[in-house]
Amino acid sequence: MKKQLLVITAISFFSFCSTAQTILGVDVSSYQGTPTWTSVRPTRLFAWAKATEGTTIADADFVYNETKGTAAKVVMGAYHFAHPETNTATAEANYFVSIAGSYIKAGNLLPALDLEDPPSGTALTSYFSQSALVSWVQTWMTAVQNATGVKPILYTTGSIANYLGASLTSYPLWTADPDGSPTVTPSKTYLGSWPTWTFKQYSFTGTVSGISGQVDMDVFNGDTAAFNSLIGPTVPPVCKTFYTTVPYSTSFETQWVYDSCAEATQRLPDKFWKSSIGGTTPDYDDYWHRDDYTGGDWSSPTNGAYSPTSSNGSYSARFHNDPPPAGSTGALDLYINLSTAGTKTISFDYIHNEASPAPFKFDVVLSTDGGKTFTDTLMRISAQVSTWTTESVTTTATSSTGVIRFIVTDKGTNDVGVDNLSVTSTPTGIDEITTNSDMVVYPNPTDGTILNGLFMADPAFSTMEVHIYDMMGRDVLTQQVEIERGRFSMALANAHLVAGTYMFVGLSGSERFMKTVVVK
Amino acid sequence: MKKTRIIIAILSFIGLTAFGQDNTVVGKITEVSPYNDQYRITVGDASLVLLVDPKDETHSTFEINKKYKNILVKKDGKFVLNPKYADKTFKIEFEINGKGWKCIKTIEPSKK
Repeated sequence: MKKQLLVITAISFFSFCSTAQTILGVDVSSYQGTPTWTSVRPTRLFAWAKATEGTTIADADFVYNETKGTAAKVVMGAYHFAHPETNTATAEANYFVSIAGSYIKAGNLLPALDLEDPPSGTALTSYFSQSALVSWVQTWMTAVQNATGVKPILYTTGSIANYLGASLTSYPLWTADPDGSPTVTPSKTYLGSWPTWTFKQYSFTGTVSGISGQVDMDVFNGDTAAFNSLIGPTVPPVCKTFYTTVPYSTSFETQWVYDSCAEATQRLPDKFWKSSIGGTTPDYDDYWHRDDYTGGDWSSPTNGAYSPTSSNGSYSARFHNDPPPAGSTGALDLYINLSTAGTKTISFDYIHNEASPAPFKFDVVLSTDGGKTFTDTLMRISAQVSTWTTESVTTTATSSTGVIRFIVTDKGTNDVGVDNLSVTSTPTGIDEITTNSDMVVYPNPTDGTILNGLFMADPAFSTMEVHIYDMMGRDVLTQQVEIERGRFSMALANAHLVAGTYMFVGLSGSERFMKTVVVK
Repeated sequence: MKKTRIIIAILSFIGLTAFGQDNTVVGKITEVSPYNDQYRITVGDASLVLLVDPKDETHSTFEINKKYKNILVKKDGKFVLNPKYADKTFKIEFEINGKGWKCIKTIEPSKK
């Protein structure tokens, strides 16, 4: 991939460094069908292809255009048609990045936000206040830049550019000024507060060899050096590792985000995850995705799908391996700080409905060195699990750079699903943690209505904050208690504690008291 | 027999795709509104776009046949349907532009 990038950049460089010329391009969508990009290239040096619209429409020809255009040495880019009247900016940015993320990189055009009046309904300038529209655009721009490391460009009309004011002028402008001329400078009425323009869409009705029907025509404002500078190496994304903390939970409901630090097309539940492939014949189709993924990694995504698609909410994390290179693996890693004291419980729902799964294994393995080595196999499942089933495993690891890896080696028939994941902590080793154990609680076991405490010696404090945790680490009751002559009493009835084992944690200043309490 | 049916089906599809697209609308203009620095005109259920003539620096005429370049007139700073064309039925031919808009090419009176 890196080589390909260099080649594309080099081609772009050699293409545009020889002579001064007007740098012309087009922007296309499925309205143009499938252009013959080798016929386009002699007269059009760049092209934006529509990737997405709103949060549900992925242009059917986007991948074709990006792939064939790039192969024909056209400098390609991706654009998103906004529907601010319908969706949040964050949802639209995430959707765009999930589809177009792997095509946003050095050597390509800037990712573009197409901001224009919706095909039906009210004009944006009537629908939104200026500040609301500016805020929507700013949020989209920031989200895309954060996800890709590339500053986006804004495509818009003169009337909207004027309406937006000066707040967004740090983003380059691609102005819609269909005056039919690639050489005439757009008048000020098309630029709003922008001091200059970067691209101009000079026709909505152009014709270009290799493209059937009419097409939008564009021109770059600058010479070859400026163009090369624009598409050249950009600020690389910060490939930082983020560790979540305990407790952590997810049901994989949100749209998975593009992993801008990876060369492939991985998408991840959130920034605390990474994914990788390995084994004997690793291929892109071995990557985990949210179960509804339909992108290029997975061939025939309906093959091997499990039902229902989730055990909690609508979506799950899914390992799909079709066609099946036997022995290849797909790993999904959660980076998590496990330094919280006590036993950590990893709980998740699991499905793999395959009667004869061998050769197959699903492992939950743990790294305590930030993913360098995985030495602790916490769990292995190698048999059929035909319905969603809750699995759980514990660890007492205290590494601040823990990585919990879900790794599948599959023969590639039916898919594997994981959902409803949680990592919680249950305090244990009370004596190690408690510095002052001169206190007892009684009755213990209790009937769940009242709990009393007695200090062996009068404490120096008169109040204490008490937390009652269940064995999943959930704080089921918090109460401030008064201490008189070394004694306190607290009502439990309102907490409706079910029979079981609980942790009593009393806090006052730097003092901490921990006891195991049984409700019968 | 099956082959014949398949061939007929394919030919029918090609015929419809290549020659069967109807790029005309007949009806009265019921609404005019600004749309991306152009004008959106509603005729029945159809939403058509009237492109501003880029050669006209005053942006007051449109890219259609000469006879109807005055289809819209300015009133109180906004373009509205020329009153003399109100309640008239037109046959409007359009073509799809690069954005997928139905751009009006010609307007003719209709006998309907």
